[in-house]
Parts: sequence; C-alpha cells; structure tokens
Amino acid sequence: MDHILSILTFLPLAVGLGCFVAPDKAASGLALVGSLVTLALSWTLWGSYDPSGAEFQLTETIPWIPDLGIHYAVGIDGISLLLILLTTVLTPVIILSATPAVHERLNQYLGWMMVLESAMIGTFVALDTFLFYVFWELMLIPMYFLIGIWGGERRIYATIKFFIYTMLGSLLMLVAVLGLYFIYAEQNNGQYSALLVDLYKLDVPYNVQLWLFAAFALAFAIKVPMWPLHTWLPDAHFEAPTGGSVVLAGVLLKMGTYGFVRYAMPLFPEAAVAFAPAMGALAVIGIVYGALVAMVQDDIKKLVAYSSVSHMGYVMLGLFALNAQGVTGAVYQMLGHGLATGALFLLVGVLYERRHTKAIAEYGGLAKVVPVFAFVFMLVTFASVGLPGLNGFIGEFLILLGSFERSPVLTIFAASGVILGAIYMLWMFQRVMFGPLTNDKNKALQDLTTRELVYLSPILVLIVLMGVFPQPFLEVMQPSVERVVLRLAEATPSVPPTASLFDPSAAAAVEAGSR
Amino acid sequence: MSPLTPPPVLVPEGLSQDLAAFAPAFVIFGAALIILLWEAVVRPADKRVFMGFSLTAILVALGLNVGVAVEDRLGFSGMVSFDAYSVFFNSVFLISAALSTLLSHDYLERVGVRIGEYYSLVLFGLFGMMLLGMGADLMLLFVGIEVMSIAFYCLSAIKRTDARGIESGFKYFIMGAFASGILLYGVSFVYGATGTTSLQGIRAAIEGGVHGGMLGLGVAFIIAGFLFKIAAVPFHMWAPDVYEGAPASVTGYMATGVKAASFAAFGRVLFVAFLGLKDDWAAPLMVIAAVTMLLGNLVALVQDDLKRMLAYSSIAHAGYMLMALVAVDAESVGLNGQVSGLLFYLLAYTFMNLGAFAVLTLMAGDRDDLTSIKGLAGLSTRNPAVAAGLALCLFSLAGIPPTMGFVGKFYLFAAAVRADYVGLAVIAALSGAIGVYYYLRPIVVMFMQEGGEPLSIRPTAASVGALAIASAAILYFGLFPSQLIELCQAGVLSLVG
Repeated sequence: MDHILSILTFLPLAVGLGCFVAPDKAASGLALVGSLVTLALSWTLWGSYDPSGAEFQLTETIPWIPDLGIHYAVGIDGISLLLILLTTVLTPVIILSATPAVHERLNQYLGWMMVLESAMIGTFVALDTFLFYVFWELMLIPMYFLIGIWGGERRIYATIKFFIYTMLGSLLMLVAVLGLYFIYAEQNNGQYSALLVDLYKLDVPYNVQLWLFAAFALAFAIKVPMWPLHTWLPDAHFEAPTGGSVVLAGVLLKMGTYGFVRYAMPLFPEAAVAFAPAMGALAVIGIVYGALVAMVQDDIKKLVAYSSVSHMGYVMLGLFALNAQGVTGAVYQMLGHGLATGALFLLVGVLYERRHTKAIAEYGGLAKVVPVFAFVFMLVTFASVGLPGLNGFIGEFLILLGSFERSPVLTIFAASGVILGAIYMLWMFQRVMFGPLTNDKNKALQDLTTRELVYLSPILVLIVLMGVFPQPFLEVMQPSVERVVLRLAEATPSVPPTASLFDPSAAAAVEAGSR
Repeated sequence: MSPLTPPPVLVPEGLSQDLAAFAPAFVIFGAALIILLWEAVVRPADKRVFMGFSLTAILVALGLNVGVAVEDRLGFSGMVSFDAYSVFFNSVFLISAALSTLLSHDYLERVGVRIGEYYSLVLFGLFGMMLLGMGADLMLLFVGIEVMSIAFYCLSAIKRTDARGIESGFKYFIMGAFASGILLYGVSFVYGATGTTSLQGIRAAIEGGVHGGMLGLGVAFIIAGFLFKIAAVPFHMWAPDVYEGAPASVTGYMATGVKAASFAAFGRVLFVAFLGLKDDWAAPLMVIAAVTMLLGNLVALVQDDLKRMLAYSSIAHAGYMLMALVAVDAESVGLNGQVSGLLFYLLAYTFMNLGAFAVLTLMAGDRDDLTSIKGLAGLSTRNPAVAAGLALCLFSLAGIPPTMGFVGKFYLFAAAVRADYVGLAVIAALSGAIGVYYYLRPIVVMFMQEGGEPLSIRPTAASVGALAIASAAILYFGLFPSQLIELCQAGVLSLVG
C-alpha cells in the first residue's frame, strides 16, 4: 500500500469521530474494531520496513502550504516504527479496559482515545517540523478532555496544569522552529522548507544552535518530564482515569524523548554535545529523586507516577550518553517503560474499580485472595524493576553501559537508582500482596476476569518476549540509532555552552546568525 | 482652436471604471438609506425583513467585491485605491457584517431592542469601514473613520433604556472624538510638512528628503489616533467598558469589523506613506505590541464574565497583530510577504471571535446580563453542538492546531522572527501561554462541570448558522490555508504598486 502511513494516521481519527455520534454500545464496538484494524495495519509495517536501511522509509511528501515551504511529509525509521507499534498495541488494550470502568459518556471517552491515537501516530510519522508541531499540539486536546471529564476529584486543576505546562514549552519551541526555518531560507536563496531532511543538511552556527536547542529541549523536557519540570506529571497521573494514565505513561511521555532523538539532537548536534553533561546530571537527579519520592508514597498510583519520573531519567541518561549503546538502550527502555508502567496503571485501575481506593494501607495479603492478579502484578513489577529475562533489564543495562563510557561518576549514581527502584517497587508489592489479610473488605475481592486477562495478556507476552529475544527489536532500530550517533560523533563543540550563551559577543553572533 | 468648439465636458478620466470598482460600497450605502426610509412604514412585528434585506445587500456586495476583477488603480482623482489589499479587506468587513447580522435579530428581540435603524447603522458603519479599506488619502481616511465611528457610537448605545448601554456609547463617543481630533491634528502637521494629504505624495515627499519635527509630530499623532482605534495599550482604556456595555451583537461586530478596518487603514498609512520613517516608528510600536499582548492577556485572566474576557482578549489580539506591522522590512524593494500575516489573522479573528459572540448572544438572557462563564456549566450535555462550536472557537483563539487561529499565529510569529524581533516573538509566545489558561476556562465549565445555575440556552437558527459557518471556516482554513495565504500576499504586494 502506497499510503499506509497516512491511512494509519487518519483511520483512528475517523473512527474517533464516528464514536462521538454513536451510542455507547456501538461506540465501544467501533472503537475496538478500529483500534484492532489499526494494530493489524501497523504490524504490516514490520514486513514492509527494510531494517537494514538508515534512511526514512515509506515516505509520502505532498506540498501543503507551498508558499511557506510546508509539506505534508511522513515516513518512518526503526525508532518511530517501534514506537508506533507500542501505540497501536496499547490502544486496543485501553479500549477494552474502558468498558466496565467508564460509566459516563463512554462514547466520548472512546472517541477522544481514538483521536489521541491518531495524533500520537501522526507525531511519530511526521517528517516536517510544521506538521510535527500540529500533531504535537493536537495530542493535548484529547488528553485535556480525558483528564478533565473522567478524572478524579482535582481533575480540573490537574488537566489545566498539564495543558499550560506543555503549551508553554511548545510555544517556545514554535519560535525555535521558525528560527530554524529562516536560517534555512537564508542558506538556500530565500527558498523555504520545513522538511526535516532539508533541515538536517543545515549548517547552523554554534551559538544559534545553543539557543534553538535550549528551546526545543525545554518543550521536550517538560513532556518527558525531566527533573525539575516534572511537577505536572504526578498530578496528571493521579487524577487521570485509568486509560488516560496508561496512555500518558505508555506513549505520551515518550514523545519528549522521541523529540530529542528525532529533532533536538540531530538538528543541533554540537549543542547536544555541549549540553550533554548538564542533561546527564539532570537525568541522574531525576532518577534518584523520583525513586526517593516514590518510596514515601502511600498511594499506589502516585508511587507508579513517581517511578515514571525515575525511569524516564534513565531514558534521558541513555540518550545523552551520545553513543550507540546508550541511545539503543534509551529506545528500548522507552518501549519497556511504556509496557510495564502501562500494565501497572491497568492493574491499579483493576484494584480501584473493586475497592475504590488506591491507598497502600487499605491492602495487604491480597496474594491469598486473588492469586492470578498477584502473579500478573509480580511479573509486571519485576519488569519495571529490571529483572533479567524481562524487557526492563535490557534497556537499563544498555543505558548504564553507554553512560559508563561517558561518565563513570554519573553512572554510579544512576545505578543506585536501580537499587532504590527495586526497594520501592518490591516494598509496595510486599505491603499490598503479602502479610496478613487484615482488611475485611478485601476478603471477597474478585480475581482477574477473563476480559481483564485478555487485555493484559498482550502486554505480558511482549514483556517476556522482549526480555528473552531482544534481537529482532534491536536489529530494526540499529541503523537508525547509528545514523543519529554518527551525526553526534562528528560534532565537536569548541566552547562550553554557558560561556557562549551569555557572552555579549556571542549574543551578537546569535543575532548575526539569525539575520 | 475654433471659438465655436463646445467647452469640454468635465468628466474625469476613468470615471466609469471608478464607479464600477466602487460598486460594493454603493450597494451598502444604498441599502442603508433604503432601510432608513423603509423603516418608517414597517410594523414593528415585521422588522425581521430588515435582517434578510441587509444580508442580501451584504452578500451582493461581497459577490461584486470578489467577483468583479479590478486592476490595481487609484480612482476618484487619487482619493481611493482599488487593489488586492482593498478587495481583501472589504471581504473581511463584509463577512464580519454578515455574521453579526445573523446574530442580531433574535438577540435584539429578546433583549428588547426593536429598532429598524439598527440595520441601517450596521450598514453605515460597514460603508465607513470600506472607505478605510480603500482610502488612499488621509482626508478620505479621516472621513471613513468618522462615518464608521459615528455609526458605532449610536450602535453601542442602542439600548436606550439601559444605563450601561448609554454609558458605553457616551464613553466611546467622548474618547473616540478625542482620538479623531488627535488624528486630524496629526494630518494637519503632515500636510504642513509635505504639502499633500495623498499617501503616495507623502511617500514621495519623504523620499525627497522632507524630515524634521513637524513631520515627526504629525506621524506620532496619526499613529496615536490609530492605536486608539485598535485599542492598543496605552489607548485601550475605553475598550472593556464599551465592549461590556454594548449589546453582544454590536460588540462582536465592533471587535472584528472596526478592528479590521482600523488595521487596514493603519497598515496602508504605515506601508505606503511612512515606510521611509520605519526606523523611527518601529521601535515604539514594538514596545506597544509587547505591552498590549501582555496586559490584555493578564487582565483577561481574572475575568469571570465571558463578554469582558473576550474584550480583554481582543486587546491582546491587537498586540499580536501589531507584530506584523512592526515586521515590515523597509530596505527591501517592496514589502516582504510576512506582513500578510496581518491580513490572515484579521480574517481568522473575525471568524473565531464572532463564533464566540454567537454563543454569547444565545446565553445573554432577557435582560442581557447573563454572560458569566459559570452559566455555561454542563452545556456540553444540554447543547453538545453549541458547546463544541464554542470550544472550537476558543481553541482557535488560543492558537491551537489544527485551527485557523494557529496558522494565523504561526504566520505572525514568523513575521516577528523573520524581522529579527526574536525577543518580541518570545514575549508573544509566553503571553500566548497565559491566554491558553483563560480560553480553557469556559471549556472546563462546559465540559467538565455540572450544576450551578445553568443558563437556559435557546439556540436560534440564525445564530447557530453563524456559529456553524465560523466553525467550518476555522477548520477549513486551519487545514488548507494555502490559497488564502496567496490572497493575503497578493494583497500586501499590491500596496507597493
């Protein structure tokens, strides 16, 4: 199929719009079928994508706003392919999990979820900065409604905080996108282009790179979220409905790290190298801070939310190791975190539906009452902790390997995060599952239903599969990762960033550059 | 020459072409006069007919405006300029008037304004706007401003029994008259310095070396007059009170039409007459743009009333649009295409703001005092279509893709970055983020809150129609802006002539 990526992007949107006008029952059928068809289509990409090529594949480029050099340009490489698959796997799972859990306005819930899938896939396939920005912002609207309508008590505070935080970063990124756009016009006789492949060829002056990188990095770091820009995440996670949390942890956070791999790092390689020590340090602070805060939470959902801050810190550490192991590990960890944390939120949702509380103290000794649930929870917890044989291990190991090469000191601190992670996750698991069954309300707790097992099973299978057979996944991303790393290896910044950012003569050079 | 030859008839050359090009304005003017006479013989119950008549006149004028090809020329002895710029702006005014007319009738009935002159005032105001879009001479521009403003002084006080309405009209009149005076004072200085009021002539004089205090003072006064009309800081004080006190349909018309007309004339004066002095006026205007968008957004943040919020947001939008004026490049031969963002944004603003005002006219209640944001609670379950339309307009005002407001904002930011005003673009981005907060509030109330004292909203076909047209335009031009962008660029390029 020629337009497979466009179909993949817009099919969920069409399904989503259909859901809005359909009654609840029809909408859930429509959304399920739509998301499964999208899943099937996305797996055909696995066949049609040639894993040995480093260039973007299956591309479509159509002029959109010709006067401004803006194109509808889509295409994938190994990295975006894997992230698209993550998206299409998680969406049907969320659709299935919604039916007993969402009581009000189910059709709209499903509709927004499908619109969100469309925006997420669009963000991954976009190869034009303008198009990317459109999809990037478009993701906000469904998530805003998902948290705001179906969320918990402080949902409105959480959803507005989420929206404003993200918007602030993106607007500054928009200014940087424009800056880049005019630099292109200057170097190409007034021709405009927002195409990524064109912008990759640019020779951006070092000082300008630093500023533009900073603007892009701010937008992406908010999304990841990197410490200290993470404060919106626990609120959003805590208030979001189960499906919202799953998609937020599973895919939306990856948008930030994906942005670094696809835009910030390859577009501004010298700046990326210059900022790498700072980014690495922030990443490690995030790892340790997230883990420490997670440890003291008395609510399961909040604990998982803070664990995300910690785990996404690893991804950032891997990316800014700037070598093949680090970046590969980072991408692998994105997938691993998406699956494991997504599953954790689903399981917390299952508990919440039965008992309407997420407080750890309300539970204890569940393993005796709900053995299947306990087993699944254990598997996912181990994956999240990074136990060898499950997918989390491979990502973390590669990241630490890559990072050690760059900075042993940082790596030692980061590795302590692994231990902390094991402590807070296993401690939580122990408090919820083992010990005496003291709370009478838990005695009649229902074990996982068939429906719940059905939607959890694909995630569990992938967790094990990616832990035992990582090779096919690593192979498909390898050339793309190497392309990014090669670009970074060629870059050698001459001056440390702080000096040139605030030096007056450098500021003059910035102005000269953007003129 | 034989003494028997009859004296030549004094028909100016090209009069028939001038009249043809001026036809849309004639249609509007004629329709306004007809309504004025007709009004006397129509029973109050039948006054709905004026809405249909006005709409027909507006649509005919719109058809003439875009359908009849006119080559770029100066008409009526150089007083009027027919070019792609004037055609574009006339279309914006006509669209604004058409949408506001759609909102008017049922709303005015409900709040007890049964006055036929309403429509003739709307059309007279429209005629003034069209003069502003076409005027190529400071004198004609002044006439246009007065024709437009006097119509709007009356329109804002049209609720004759309402104290707030009277206050609104009176305030607007006093302040407006003062600003007109300042503007005229400026015109006289410029005339004194250059010996002409024609925009081309002033440009030639400045290029020929005229400079000095008198010219500078004149330019400053003219700019101040226009800044008042577009409600830029520090000349914005009148706007919130006037906008709040005037009937909602008038406010919507005023915030889009008057603003577009003032920007049209402002742009033409700056680009045609005063381009050579760009280095002098760009810096102050840049500061004013930054302060205007920040102040408008910050004050809008704390408003609980939808109408007042939209009034302050309208100030903020004037600030964004000023960015495009500042971004003009004096050195390049013509004007670079970036300024055309102003044209695009004004049309976008017309659609999204009037869409929001359509909902405001529906919720306003019988005494026209129920415009609090809280009243929208639970609207998404009671009137999902109206709620969705308002949400779309608000997302567009906030500049979120894939709406027309986003493309417009992209375009304006592009102008600022292109002209090396990166700092201004960053301020615009930050104040845009503030704007997002208050635009989201009505959406939160409509979609995420129930209860309170919800207003009863009785959708009328005309208002919902206006909302639907606005929504469709917002989405269509948000997704496929390229043809419209070409028109905007042609409009700006035609100014250089």
